[in-house]
Amino acid sequence: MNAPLSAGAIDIRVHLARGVVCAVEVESQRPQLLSRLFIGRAAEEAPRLAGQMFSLCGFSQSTAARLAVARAAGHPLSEDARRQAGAGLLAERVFETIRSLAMQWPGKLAPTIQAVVGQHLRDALKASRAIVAYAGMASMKTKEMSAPAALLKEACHGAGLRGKGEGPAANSLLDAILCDVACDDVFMSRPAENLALEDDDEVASMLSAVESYAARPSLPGRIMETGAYARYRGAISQTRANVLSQRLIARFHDLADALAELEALIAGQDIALGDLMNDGHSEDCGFGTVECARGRLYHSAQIDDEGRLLHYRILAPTEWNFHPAGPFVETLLTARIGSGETARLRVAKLAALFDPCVAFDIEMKEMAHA
Amino acid sequence: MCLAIPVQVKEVLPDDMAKVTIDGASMVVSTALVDDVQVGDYLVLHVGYALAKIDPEEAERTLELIREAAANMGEVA
Repeated sequence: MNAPLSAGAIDIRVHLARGVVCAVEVESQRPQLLSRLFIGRAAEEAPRLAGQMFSLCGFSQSTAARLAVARAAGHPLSEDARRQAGAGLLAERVFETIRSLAMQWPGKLAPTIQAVVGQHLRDALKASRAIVAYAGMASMKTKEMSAPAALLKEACHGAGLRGKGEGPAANSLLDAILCDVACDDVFMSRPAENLALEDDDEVASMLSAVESYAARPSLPGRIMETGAYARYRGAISQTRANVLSQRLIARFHDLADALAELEALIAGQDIALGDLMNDGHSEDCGFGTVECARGRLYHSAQIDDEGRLLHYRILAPTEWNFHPAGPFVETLLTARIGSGETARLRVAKLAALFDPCVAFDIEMKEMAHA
Repeated sequence: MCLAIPVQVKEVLPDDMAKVTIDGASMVVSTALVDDVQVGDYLVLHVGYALAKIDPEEAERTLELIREAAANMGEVA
């Protein structure tokens, strides 16, 4: 390799003055410009390539590519194809949400909980993989998805998920994480807008026009967040004051809704597919958007007369949430987090609940006193 | 977006762990989510956890892509 690539990471530097966060630097070590690999390839290669290149949310990446390329070619996906893909997106979102909480939670969890959750995670992985495999097939396979969807739901219940609006089951993984954050109320809720369907045209336009937009996206005069908390904040903020708890409960809401939508899709019922995926045109490009575990993921593609990709760009949800002037930084600023390992752990828990799609490193710096 | 760099298992360790190599460097990762991990298998990782086992051909295709990406990065750096 000429220049070895790392899997990617985010460096978070927190500057403290007497236990209060006075500055935050977020620096990405993520490999940028990977989407240049798509250029010059046959357009139909894009979904496979997108699914292969990233370690997380491969089906979401692949579906966003499929939507973008189909739009660019002037043949958008059919309703049936969207419904089938929707099931895969929901299953992947559920597994990835549970996996991230179980395997990357920075707080200490009891060994008894870790021992039990392993089997539930393996079941959730097996179930989501089966649904994703069916979702990738050309013919409708919703009937075959019933058994893995039931296993996925059972695995989530094993991790402690109950019905929407209900707290997690006692002594479960989700209950343990909720207890871990319940008494740690040092962050203030900062208003950020939910990146939503109605923003897609503007975002896709900027993405196709400016290559650097994929690394530092913004919408004029607005602080944008994407993911479960951005979608559910209005529904839970009045009942819970603790920001970390709010963010965790938003995940529970998202899991419960995703499982219910998956069941509805399999039963042949209508769901709001537009909230799950969207596509359209911007300039000469087609774009595809999907709502994955961490929020809205965009792909933008342009195809030449010979069916080859002339232009390709990918914008991941982490770029919004960990923007240097974005909602993670805003939530940290002026928080009284204390010092030492306690402070570092508080930052880690907040970062884990923003859930970047790459590893993160935290450095704490105490400002020199005058 | 975390790049899916395949790693090869060099040693299977107790408690669902394994020693793997990536670009010549060794590291120990959790294989708790992947069944029947054997020496020589290729794994896809995320932050120290193996998420999937892939066949050698797929691993080589992915590594080839990564080499190509690395070369592109070198050109734009």
